[in-house]
Formats: sequence, C-alpha cells, structure tokens
Amino acid sequence: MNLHDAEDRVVASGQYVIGLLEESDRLEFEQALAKDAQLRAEVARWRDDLVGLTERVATTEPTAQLWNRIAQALPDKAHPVPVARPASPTKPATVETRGYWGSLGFWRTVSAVAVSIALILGGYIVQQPSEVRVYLAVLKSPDQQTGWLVKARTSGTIRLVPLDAATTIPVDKSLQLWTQPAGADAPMPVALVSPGQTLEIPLKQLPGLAGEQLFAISLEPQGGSPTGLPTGPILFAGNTEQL
Amino acid sequence: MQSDSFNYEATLEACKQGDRLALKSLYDREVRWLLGVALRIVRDRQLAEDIVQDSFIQIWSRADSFDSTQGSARGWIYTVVRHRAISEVRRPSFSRSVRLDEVEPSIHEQTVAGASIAAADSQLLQHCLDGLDEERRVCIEAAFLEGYTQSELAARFDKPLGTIKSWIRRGLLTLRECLR
Repeated sequence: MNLHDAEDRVVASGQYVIGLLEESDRLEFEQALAKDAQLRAEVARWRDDLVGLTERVATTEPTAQLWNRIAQALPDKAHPVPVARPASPTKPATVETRGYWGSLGFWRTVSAVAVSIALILGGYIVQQPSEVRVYLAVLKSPDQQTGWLVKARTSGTIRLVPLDAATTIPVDKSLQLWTQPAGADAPMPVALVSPGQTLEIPLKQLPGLAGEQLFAISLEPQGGSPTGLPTGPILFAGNTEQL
Repeated sequence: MQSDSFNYEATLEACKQGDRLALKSLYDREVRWLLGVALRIVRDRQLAEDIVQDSFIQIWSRADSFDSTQGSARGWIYTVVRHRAISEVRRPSFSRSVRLDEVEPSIHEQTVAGASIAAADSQLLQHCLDGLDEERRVCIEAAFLEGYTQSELAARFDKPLGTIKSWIRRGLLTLRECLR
C-alpha cells in the first residue's frame, strides 16, 4: 500500500474508516497509523465526516438483558494497576526534576477532579490548546428555509456552502456575508458571496470564531454595502454551534 | 435523534477512570442507534447484540487510546461498532446475499429533523454525497451502511473490480474536497 502520495493517504484513510480495506491492507494500514499522527488525523476526519450516515439507520430496541451482559463482562478499573514502566537509563534526571508535578498520582487526581467537573458541567469540555474546534452555523431565511451552511475550523478557514442552489439575485445587487460575535455591537462585513457557490475565507479575516456567533447574508448594492453595515434585507442568518 | 447536550468526550474520559455509570449513560443514549448500525450490517439480531456487547467492552477497555485532539468521541464510538460488525461479515464462514436494492430506498428514509448541530453536519454530508456521480455515491453508502466489500459491489453492479475501485477512489476524493 502506498501512503506517500497525499491523495492515496486520503483514499486509504476513507477506505479504512468505511471498512473497505482488505485484511492484509488493513493490517498494514493500522501499523502505519500507529506511527503517523497525520494519518491518524486523516482517519479522525473521515470518522467525523461520515458518522452522519449512521442516522439513516433504523433504531433497534435492545433486549432487556443486554446491559447486564455488558456490565458483567466489564474488566474492573476501580483500582487501576500502575503501568510498569522500564527504568529509563537515557534520561535518569527527568523523574527527579519533575518532582510533584510529574508524579503520576498527582495527575491522576487532577484529571479525576477535572473529569468530575466536566461531568457536572455537562456540555463543557476543557479545551486543549492544540485541539481543533469545529463550528457550524445553518443560515436560514426568515421563513426557515435552509440556505447556506458555515463550517469553520479553528485551525484554518471557514467555508460557506450553498445548500439551496436556487438563490438568484438581480444583476445590480450583491450578496454579502456578515458576522457578529456574541456580545459585539454590530456585524462586520466578511466577504461578497456568489449565489450557489462555495466560498472559502481565511480565519484571520474574521474578528474571531466562537459559539453563538452570528453569520448572516444580506442583499446589498453591487460591490457590497457602502456603509460598512448591512443596508439591504437579511436573507439568511444563523448562529454557530460547536460540533 | 441525538441532541447536542451530551458530552461524549467527558463520558469517554470518565470511562478511562473506571466510571461505570458513564458507560451506562452512553449505553442508554446510544444503544438503539448502535444496535441499528450493527444490525444493518450483519442482519442478525442476536449477532448484532453480541457485537454491541463486545463494542461496549472495547470502548471501556480502549477509552485510553482515544485522543480527544483527533476527532470526536462520537465518531470514534460509531467506528468501533461498525468495524466490529464488519469484521464479523468478513469471516469466511459468514454468508449473506448481496441485496444492494435495499440500500437505495432507505437513503432518505430518515429526514434529519430540527436544527441540531449533528443534523447540520449530516446536511453538509448529504449535500456532498448528492454531488457525487450516482454510482460512486451508492458504492460508498452501501459500503458504509451495509459493510459491502469492493468485490461484492463489483458483483452487484456487474462491473470489473477495477471499475469499482476507481469509483470509490474518485468518490472519496470528491467527498473530501467537498467536506473539507
């Protein structure tokens, strides 16, 4: 299996997630996966992108005993056995210098507390700095027709995808995309939008990206609003939610 | 339909720590869907339940290996179940008829309701799938939902294996571009 070419990596990752790799290729792919973080990211992306397909499946009620069968078969983790690590002859000083902060017990306690807090807070997750967050906003018309989708990753770009290809506008008008972060006083212009076409915008052109951020498309004179604020009707609007 | 308030990441994190109630909450929430996903692939109720049982034990045991910086916990959980089901139908002893005709009518059987964020993402996926050539779309959907191999798809479409492989390759590349 060739995993050097960028397209081959995309395809192999998709095939792996879907379950299309033959046994020998699958084993080879999993070996590569263990030592290739970028490949793991590609796989994670396919997992998330395709999971929506499972919503097409009819749900099925389990038999009453299924949970009990699972519970009885669960290995016990209540008193986790410390992982035996081989002594590290190459870096003998590390353990000592890390001291309290490096102690496994300390971090176990901290993370156990963090988990409890996370569970109490429900929908809130402690974000790690390296974590890529994905936001979606469905832009709907005043009569609740879905028109556009905004998909934004904190790692790079936002994409505006037309879901209703039928939007047409007069020739002397332009569509303009606006955004307004939660708490901001006024919307800011982002870009002009062509009907029916996907638009990709670098994240740095936005004032920021967070949940409950408004995105809206208004009808403006050709070339966009002359005032820096929407002057025409808002055709589509919606707020971001974190995926 | 899943709503957005359930925190899959925190639930997996709690499973790592040995919190059985967390796994039970995941079970209560997802088992009907996960069972549906497994049943669609293996088409045998008892076997589907066995797969879901194994998968929950795997989720419990392998929660450590889930990396929250790489994708969602929900995507990971569904993949555990799907891969477990697919490994079952790949056994030489497993036999089933290739009935691709069952795929097509069900494609839009569940209209995604409401404005939940999972629904919005599904809407994007649907938009991108609709943009594929028909045969490429059907191949990818059938492989994902029913667990078909490329050889089974070749038999169903009465096409050479190379053609199916090429459809899937191009379909996946187009999808990736659209879903980016």
